[in-house]
Amino acid sequence: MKKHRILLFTLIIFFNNQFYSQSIIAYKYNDLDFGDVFIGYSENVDANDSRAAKFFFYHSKFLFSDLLVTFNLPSSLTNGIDKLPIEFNYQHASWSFRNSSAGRRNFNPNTPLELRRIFLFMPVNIWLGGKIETHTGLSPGKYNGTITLTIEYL
Amino acid sequence: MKNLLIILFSSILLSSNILLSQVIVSPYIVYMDEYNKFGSMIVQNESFEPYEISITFKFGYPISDSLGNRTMNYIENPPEDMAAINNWVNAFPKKFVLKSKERQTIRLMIKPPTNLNDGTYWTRIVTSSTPVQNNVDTNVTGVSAKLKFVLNQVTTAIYRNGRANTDLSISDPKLFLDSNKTYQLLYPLERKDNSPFFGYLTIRIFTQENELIKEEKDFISIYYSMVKNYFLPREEFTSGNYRAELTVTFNEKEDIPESKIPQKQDILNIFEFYIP
Repeated sequence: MKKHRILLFTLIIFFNNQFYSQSIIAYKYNDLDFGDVFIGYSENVDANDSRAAKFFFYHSKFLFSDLLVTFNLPSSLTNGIDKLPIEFNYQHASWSFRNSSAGRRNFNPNTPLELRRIFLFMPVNIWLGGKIETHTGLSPGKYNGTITLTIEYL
Repeated sequence: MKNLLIILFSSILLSSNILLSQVIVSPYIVYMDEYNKFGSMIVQNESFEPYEISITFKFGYPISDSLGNRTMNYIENPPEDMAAINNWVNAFPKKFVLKSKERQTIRLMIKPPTNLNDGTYWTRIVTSSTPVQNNVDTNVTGVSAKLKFVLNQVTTAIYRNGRANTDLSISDPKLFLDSNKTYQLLYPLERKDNSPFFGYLTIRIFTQENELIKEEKDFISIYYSMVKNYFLPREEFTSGNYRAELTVTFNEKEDIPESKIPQKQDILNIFEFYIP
């Protein structure tokens, strides 16, 4: 058993030409994109919607590590003239070890997510949607905002 | 065996570039002391697009509530009696654009006050990466909305002055029945002396017949105090007597190779409990 472990770790180091010690490595697949919205209507993007933001990360610290995922979410988007309110709730965020719609766990993106005993190199996938509500009188244009995602070891 | 398969699977995925990384920061801890007031870290852009990188400092440490739920406690203006180096440390460069597949070395320099007490001081290094934005066309008649992501990766800068030492104390453990009707073991932990405690916690839980039914090993960093909790799933922990052995192993070298704090004896806590 011990020999197997040594062999596997040697293989990891050998085959991985980008082996970084004790890092958290993250990759974003896509941004959260509501697309075009008629003025006066709301648009909701759930976590399982293809327009939801999607990214994954993994760590390379110890065999098991506890991680904290925190979102800094905007309360509105802007086109430089007007503000468009945006909200996030439990239905808008989910995570899973698998990159599939099955087995996802929803969480509230407004509070930090504590992930326990995450295995070395195990990818954690996260999806984030949101809801916007336009109102008459809103000036047309492209509304933009920024979501800050912080991932850290606990 | 399951773990081995996961390692193998992850290794194949990573080595075959199926999983492409974005911006990587290393090392996890930048160490400085009274003899070496300079440190360095590397930011590497592994993506195919340029990124704007900014480096900031934020004082914080992990905390928990009384039930062991953890989060980070960030303090914007830490008082003088806290072990914060935010006002003394500088990074060069702090803002830059990193092209695809490029790397940048960040130099850290610390200028601590001369009358500093012995001990360990620290700050969190927040490395923010944002894709360089293309010009957007604003000539539209309706409303469209898009949010971009900024990724913050948090590492730590440590400064050690004079005699630094640490230890850990474990207060009386408790058995707690949570709202999901799951029992938890709660261990209040407190670091001693003038430095954070980095090491491993290993818990082994035995039945009355001395059969090992649970074993977990976790890395811990106790900056001040924390409650560590262990879940005891109902399917494994039926009614009966149990014995929990918690072993604390100091292992700072794994996080800080330059550490001069001597290795310590393991701490063993034995707790016997009954599940109704």
